[in-house]
Amino acid sequence: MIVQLVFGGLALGSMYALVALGYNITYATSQTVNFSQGQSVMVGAVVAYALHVGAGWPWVPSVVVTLIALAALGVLVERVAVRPFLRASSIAWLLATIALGIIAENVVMLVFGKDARAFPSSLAVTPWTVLGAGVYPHELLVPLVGIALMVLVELAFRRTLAGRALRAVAWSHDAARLMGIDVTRTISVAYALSSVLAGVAGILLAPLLNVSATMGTTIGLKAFAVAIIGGIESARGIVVAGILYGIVESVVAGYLGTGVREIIGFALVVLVLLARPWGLFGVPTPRRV
Amino acid sequence: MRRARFPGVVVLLLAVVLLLTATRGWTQAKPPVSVALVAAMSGGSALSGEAIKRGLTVAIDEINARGGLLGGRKVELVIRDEEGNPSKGVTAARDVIEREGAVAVFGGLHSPVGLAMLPVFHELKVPYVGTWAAATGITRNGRNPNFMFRVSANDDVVDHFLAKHVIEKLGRQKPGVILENTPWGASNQEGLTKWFGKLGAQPVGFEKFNWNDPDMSAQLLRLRNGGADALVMVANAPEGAQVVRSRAKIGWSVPTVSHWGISGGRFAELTGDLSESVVFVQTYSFFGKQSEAGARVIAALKTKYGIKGPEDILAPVGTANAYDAMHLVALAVERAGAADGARIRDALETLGEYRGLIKTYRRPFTPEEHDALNEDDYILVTWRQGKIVPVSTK
Amino acid sequence: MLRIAGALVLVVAAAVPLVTSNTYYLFVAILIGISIVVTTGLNVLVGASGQVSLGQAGFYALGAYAGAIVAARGGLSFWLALPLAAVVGIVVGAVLGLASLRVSGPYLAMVTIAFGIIVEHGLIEWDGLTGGFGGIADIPRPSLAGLPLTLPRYYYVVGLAVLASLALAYNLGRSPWGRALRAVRDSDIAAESLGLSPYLVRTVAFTLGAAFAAAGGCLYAFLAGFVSPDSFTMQTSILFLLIVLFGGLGRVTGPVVGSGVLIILPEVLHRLADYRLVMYGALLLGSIYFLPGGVVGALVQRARLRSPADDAPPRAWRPGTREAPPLHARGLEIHFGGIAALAEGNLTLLSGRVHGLIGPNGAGKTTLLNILSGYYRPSAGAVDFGPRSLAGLPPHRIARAGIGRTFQTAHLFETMTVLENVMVGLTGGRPGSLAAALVGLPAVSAGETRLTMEARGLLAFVGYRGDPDELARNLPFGHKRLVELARTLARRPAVLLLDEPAAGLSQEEIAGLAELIARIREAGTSVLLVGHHMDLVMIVSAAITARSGASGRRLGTEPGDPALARSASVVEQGPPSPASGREGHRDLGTVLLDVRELGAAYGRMEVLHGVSFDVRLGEITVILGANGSGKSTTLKTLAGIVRASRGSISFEGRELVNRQAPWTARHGIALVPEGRLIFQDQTVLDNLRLGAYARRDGSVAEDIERQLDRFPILRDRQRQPAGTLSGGEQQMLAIARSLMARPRLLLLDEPSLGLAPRLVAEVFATLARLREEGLTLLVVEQMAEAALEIADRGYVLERGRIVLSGRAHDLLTDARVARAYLGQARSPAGAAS
Repeated sequence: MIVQLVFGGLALGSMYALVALGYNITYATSQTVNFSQGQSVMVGAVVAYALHVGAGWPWVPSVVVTLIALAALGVLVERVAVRPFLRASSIAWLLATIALGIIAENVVMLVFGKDARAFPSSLAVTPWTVLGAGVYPHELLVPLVGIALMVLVELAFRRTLAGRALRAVAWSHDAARLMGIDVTRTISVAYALSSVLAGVAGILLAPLLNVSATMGTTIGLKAFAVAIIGGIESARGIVVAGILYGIVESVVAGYLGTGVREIIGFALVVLVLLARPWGLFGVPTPRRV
Repeated sequence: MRRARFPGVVVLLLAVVLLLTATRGWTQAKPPVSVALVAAMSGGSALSGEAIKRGLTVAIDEINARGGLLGGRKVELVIRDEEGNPSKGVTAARDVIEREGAVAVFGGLHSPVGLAMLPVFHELKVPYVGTWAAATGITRNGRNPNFMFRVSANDDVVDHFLAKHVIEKLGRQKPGVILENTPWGASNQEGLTKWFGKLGAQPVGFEKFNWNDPDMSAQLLRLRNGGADALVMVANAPEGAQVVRSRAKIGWSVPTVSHWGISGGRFAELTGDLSESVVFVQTYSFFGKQSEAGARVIAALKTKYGIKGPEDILAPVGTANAYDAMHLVALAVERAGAADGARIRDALETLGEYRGLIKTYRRPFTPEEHDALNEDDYILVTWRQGKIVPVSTK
Repeated sequence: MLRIAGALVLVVAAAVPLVTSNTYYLFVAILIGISIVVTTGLNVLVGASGQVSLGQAGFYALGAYAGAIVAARGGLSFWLALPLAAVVGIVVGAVLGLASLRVSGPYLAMVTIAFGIIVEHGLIEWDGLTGGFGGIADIPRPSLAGLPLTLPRYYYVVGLAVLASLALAYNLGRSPWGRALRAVRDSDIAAESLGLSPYLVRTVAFTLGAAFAAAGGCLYAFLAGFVSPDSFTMQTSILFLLIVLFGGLGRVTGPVVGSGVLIILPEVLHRLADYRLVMYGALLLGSIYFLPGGVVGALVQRARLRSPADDAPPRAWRPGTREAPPLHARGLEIHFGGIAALAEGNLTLLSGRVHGLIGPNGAGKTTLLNILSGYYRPSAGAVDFGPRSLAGLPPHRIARAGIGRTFQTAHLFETMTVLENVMVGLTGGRPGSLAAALVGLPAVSAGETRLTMEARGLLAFVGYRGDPDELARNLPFGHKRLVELARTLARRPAVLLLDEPAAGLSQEEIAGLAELIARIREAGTSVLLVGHHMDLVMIVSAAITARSGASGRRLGTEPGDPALARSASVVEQGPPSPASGREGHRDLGTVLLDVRELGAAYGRMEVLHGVSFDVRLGEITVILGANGSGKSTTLKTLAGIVRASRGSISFEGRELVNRQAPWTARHGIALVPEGRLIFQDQTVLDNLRLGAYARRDGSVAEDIERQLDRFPILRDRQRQPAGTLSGGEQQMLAIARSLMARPRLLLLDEPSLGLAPRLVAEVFATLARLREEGLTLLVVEQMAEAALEIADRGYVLERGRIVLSGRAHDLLTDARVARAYLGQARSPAGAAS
């Protein structure tokens, strides 16, 4: 039973981590996040569905075009709901991104419809038996792709000039500017990347979760919890926290029941913050007096 | 920014004013008879509201095509989205009655919204006709006169039906139940506990899941490990599909009986061949040979909403219930002879025979019974190649 | 005008039930009223104290259920249920606040979200008490003296609740508590220095917000007669937050406008059917965009809160203090990221003395001050204040113990007036009774009069002659200093720690300050004066400690001792080098950079007032000046980090004004910023690669090699994270990194900062070498002598103006420079000795 639970938790947890990594990237560069990141997950799934199932495209171009669309969405979010408010009060961007999310969800509902659709995946038809637990191959694929992608992102941050520039912006806007780095554009890129990661999560989850206008809300929220638990400025912390959260959730549901799952999950978030106000892997920023 | 402020206010105010004027309807020569739908039109259960709206609209189109009610007054449908939130439901109920003059209000999926609105209907003396929400307490509320009616399943009755099937037909003694963590699920937990108990069986467990949960194997494993020999499921199509897929994943083949939530057209799409392993309760199916009313409704849905066939009717029960409910209200309006809530209520209790979509109603409501559908109206069906077929007739 | 509008709204609102019997309108109006109650509390939290809660629906739900349960199950009346619900809100709010308000920003947002979700699911799961999903249906209609409260009557009950909550919020805003909340929002650091515990103040705000929300929830429960969990989702929390923002953060009438519009708007939009929520989202976005201050903020410029005491005459303020025990610091040490910011921090401050603490920038003076006042926790050492040990106490406790301080950059509460700033100081850690403040007892307004009079007297005492009702953020720098000093004095501290109080002040202002410090001392207050400005320190100090670096030594204690003065200046300058000024430099080279009438401002505060100078090809030009004179701002403006407000900058014949940093970096200007700003989380190599970010040629790798050759120490460390390097190594890296851009003009901002004398010499030698290689350099330094010795030409900047210029050699021997920047005792004769 525990193996079964871990498989389930792994798939979902890795997606929490992937979405949370998006929060991390934008927060590190601009101290803001897209509070409607869950809607980006949904848009990823919906666009992929429209292209792959609706228009009958093969999956490779569908995915590519979907991710381009998501990058554009990220840029849009940054331009419309974040950039105008960077200097204004601290909650303007928060509410502006929420407003964009409301718009996105309801536009999709208008265009796509109100019902859930199945996203076909040949890997989610026949279950395998692994270590005595039944699992759809797609459920194994999800954490593998997710973790691979997160490693890739981390490598890109360390090994490419663009990645180093992004980290430079995260460290200090002024210093980055002095290097000739366009900070505004970098933040835009961070939002695009964040949105793309959410989109990938949407596509990966679609065959497991079905496609609907409301599919992303919970994931977006839990991913935010994960980002906070891990320490929103610690990418590695987030990956660990995401996977842990997924597994804990699944195990709690398995042994104590679904009803208390959210209570225990979110109570854990609060407890972690009581013990470590900067998240499990976060580092306190020294005060500037 | 500083300079942009003032024009900003003006632009915003102008936008609101424009909206108000642009959306104001034209006044008609003969006052219409207003009926209202207060249901979830957005959010996770938006689909249910849409299905009800379609059923009502088809019926209203038919009525208006025949010349309307009370000597040529058209029926007009007012819709309010309660977003699944009881507070908004209460506001909306007052709005449609007080401002829009609705003489009857149809309700949606959420039982708590129905329960929250209950005092409003009694205070303002306008009948409520439920088309989906199944909580027993909505119609059996101890009020007299009672303004709450329902053309839909009553969980208590459905649960009795399901329990009887599991124990008497299938001969199982240790059913496991999996249901959604919503008011609807809670209502069925109550009903199933009661009826299994009365029939002498002890469920091995009640497991819950939340909407948009992708994997139910944990809950199913607990039931299987508890020794369940039958699975009773209370779920809508997307989550029902997850239950069935998770069941297949853990390699558990067990007779599976479901409440009517999975009757939506997408269940077969979401589960593929697995859909054939589930039998479920149904009041009406648009599949198979249709009555005259059924054919008419399908044709109307095709022209109005562009569906291709019965597989596109997403929540057929909601549509069918709403269709019959609207016709029953229309009959009551004619019988009352006035667009007046209290008189329509009285008329509903004394309606005669109506040949509807779901069945022929001999006496739809009585002062004692405000549920138009009863146990005899349920059939057990299953999926065969994407179509719903009956498994046994009772 | 506003009063008339308010009265009009009140009359219209009172007339609603008389005009219409339509229960829908009444119901919506009551909902608006309940929302006003809830959001008024939230406005205290978000608007006044600056904390964001996305879990307000949780408190709202707790209040609703508390009311429902005691009424439906316990048979209690509405009139008992309402206060009970508020108490539930207070208790839960206080517990949650105490537990969670150590976190802030997104972390706090998450805690509140989690709280909301836990409450929502708790209500579902604990169905024995709450009825689970089905909720509680049979809540009795409230009655008053046997009279059932029908909808119209209940309308007036809610109306009274609205008036009451608005009155509470209004009273709070005009009380010491209201100021405390805003002070913590504006600057929790400054608030702590006045004895306020930001943690406690925020918890109070959080608790108030919770109490209002719970009371509102109870009102709702009795309105609807039915509660179930679905009414209290995160959507509801978001709506409350939107109302506050839409109405106008921190405005008492904001929640009224916000609730009115945002509750009615969805009702109006119903006609749009499926497009409704799209429109709703778009309108929200539009309002956030066009109305940054909310509706109220857009319609009404913030009228100054007029208090009854506005015209109260100043009451003469006399300094005076409790007994000032001696302050001893022994062996203080602290490290940041592997670098020792302070070692051997020893200091004795005797009672009633003025003690100067001098030394170059980076010697750990401010760090020592931050430890003494509790902002930094030392890794070793002890601080004793008389018999008490202060080590490890939080800043507000140390402030209450009688130690006051000012800040190098003057931390005022920017959105508050001068008078309010001082009044925060006057009440300090004791804003009085919260209940009295909320209710608005006469004692509170009497207290306000007294506080206003005292604050005016205090402002007169420090010599502030500006407008006491001006917002702090609009003050010129000199005034900010005075107000900050007045605010600190208001605490009547036994010990006053002043961090560079003379920085940015004019000569006259400094003279006034010296006189003021003397008067403060006469009243028995001990003063620790951290200074770079030798004049001031020498005039007022009875004892002086000089620090030469992070591990500095204490050098002397008696003023006027030439030996001390000399040694102090020696420490400050580093060991004099044998070469004195650069002889025989080319006469007039080509002008590479020509700056004319350059102005720059932060907000409304102009820092540069028309600076003109030029930099010639192949030379080292140095700009000297005290802290706060505008040196760094000049460099930042050149590099495009700070926007020029006027003037022109011509570089290689191209206009630079209003070119942003990335552009200047690509066009031949590199800045080594103050404090180096190394990317500490990246390796040395990656830092160098980023230095070449703007370049698009293929020879980056060779350049990296060249820099590693130039700075062999970096080669040894090339794969280490830059944060592990020592201060000197980081400075080398910063220079190397900027050279990677192949600049034609290198700007350096205080390259000597925080370095030991040996390293300073090394850095300056490097700069000289770079000039030999043909690079042009512009160096800002406060180590005047060391800089002038390698420079070709120099300028002296004072309060945003060039006051002196000339060849480096001439400046080095100029009496005025010597007096102001090389130490008074350092005469040409001294230099020769």
